[in-house]
Amino acid sequence: MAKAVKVRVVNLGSCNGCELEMLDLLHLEPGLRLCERDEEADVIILTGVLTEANRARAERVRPRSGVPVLRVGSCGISQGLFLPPDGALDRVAALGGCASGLVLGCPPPSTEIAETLRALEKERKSAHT
Amino acid sequence: MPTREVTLRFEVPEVYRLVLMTERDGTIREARAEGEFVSRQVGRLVSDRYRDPHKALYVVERLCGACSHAHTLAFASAVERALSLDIPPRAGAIRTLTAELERIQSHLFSLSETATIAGGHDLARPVWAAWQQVTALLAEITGNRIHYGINCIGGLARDLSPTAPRMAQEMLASLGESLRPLRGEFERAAGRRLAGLGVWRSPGQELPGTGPNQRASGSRRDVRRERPYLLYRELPLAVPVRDEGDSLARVSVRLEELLVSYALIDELLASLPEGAIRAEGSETSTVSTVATSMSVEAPRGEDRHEVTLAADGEISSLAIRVPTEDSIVGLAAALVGVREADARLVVASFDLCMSCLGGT
Repeated sequence: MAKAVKVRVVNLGSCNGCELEMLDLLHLEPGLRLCERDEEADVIILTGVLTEANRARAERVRPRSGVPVLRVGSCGISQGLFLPPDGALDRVAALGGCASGLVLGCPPPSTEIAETLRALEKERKSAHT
Repeated sequence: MPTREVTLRFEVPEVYRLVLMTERDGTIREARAEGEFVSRQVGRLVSDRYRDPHKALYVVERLCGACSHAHTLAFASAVERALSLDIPPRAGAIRTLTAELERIQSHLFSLSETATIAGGHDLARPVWAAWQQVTALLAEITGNRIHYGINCIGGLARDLSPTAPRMAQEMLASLGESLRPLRGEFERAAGRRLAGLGVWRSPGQELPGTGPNQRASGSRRDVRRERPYLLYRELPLAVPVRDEGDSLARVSVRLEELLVSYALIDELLASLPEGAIRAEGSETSTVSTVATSMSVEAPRGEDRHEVTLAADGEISSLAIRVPTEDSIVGLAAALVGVREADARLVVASFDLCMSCLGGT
């Protein structure tokens, strides 16, 4: 990754397991930078159970068009053990069906997040040429 | 004097907001941390949906990515008390070993945050390299580097592989080489910035709770010493204490605890008892005490699980008290008088865990 790739992590109520792997990822891939706003992001990563208090924040996530959304960890994918009977994550209008990639695990190792990010970056580049 | 409200947002490693009332020159007059975003209500989830203690353990583990062993240890021990189960010596030794490895892991994670803010990447890099080493060691012992899944009701879910103790000893030796220089590196790169910053004291009163933050403010309390459990009944335990109560003291206590835990692990690895890893009758034992509780010294201080079991062995209630409940009070007090620009550093030095706090 030559140019800095800006990653926006949206933590929707994580145990910090995925965030620890994410911090490890930043050390493994010096080309990655965290950013705080959707508009700057080259990739958006969702982690964590969707807690009630986070529903409004989740609705406000607005990826720029073409920016991939990566769901990381069991919670970020399906709410894992915390899945409420009505399966609320897919009902968030802004995020419903919004996933360019899934990284499975509880938590997934940083190396697997890195691999998925690299594959997405490659896809993005070939789409541009 | 007019004040203004400033909100600091945190997303990685955890999601919470810090609301500061500051004076015109940037001095903080009042601070309030808001961490309700991660509220997952594990206690209620367990008593509603995961009432079988063997299943509940998986949710309890996911209270926190940084100290999941402390949570499963407190929970499993409380249930074992209710069922009158005595875990075998080998299980006790491996639980103790994992607890101290987790303490090193968690302290390094915390120190890397402080290092990044106070000393930049040059200071953070060796801290994280050590984190990678200790998580590799945790994976060698337990099979996983985060959410170890090693505890079960009655002992351990799995034994070490035959080659693990030897591998672990080799890995421990190189971890030691990485840990020893850290204290000097912190003092050189960040000591002056951390000294005198964000003092937590309550003159004439004992500080609430236990943990490195309290022990950096003169408290000598540690659950491992006050109410010993596992092998802490036998192991000699040094408890580093500082009196200054500032950010440097909090960082120094954690840096010293790294080496204390290292020494305990070294001793445990050299003398692991042989034998069974699970108490007989773990699956079939009946409830002898309805309400039990257990406190452990988690990396951040006392973690207490109070469990009530129904006659059929299912959980009817689980209440969890996490150390951040005490530390967050300290942070709010310590931030008063600090400059807004230094707030993030003081926050990092307190090593709060909003995930634990919101998880309960």
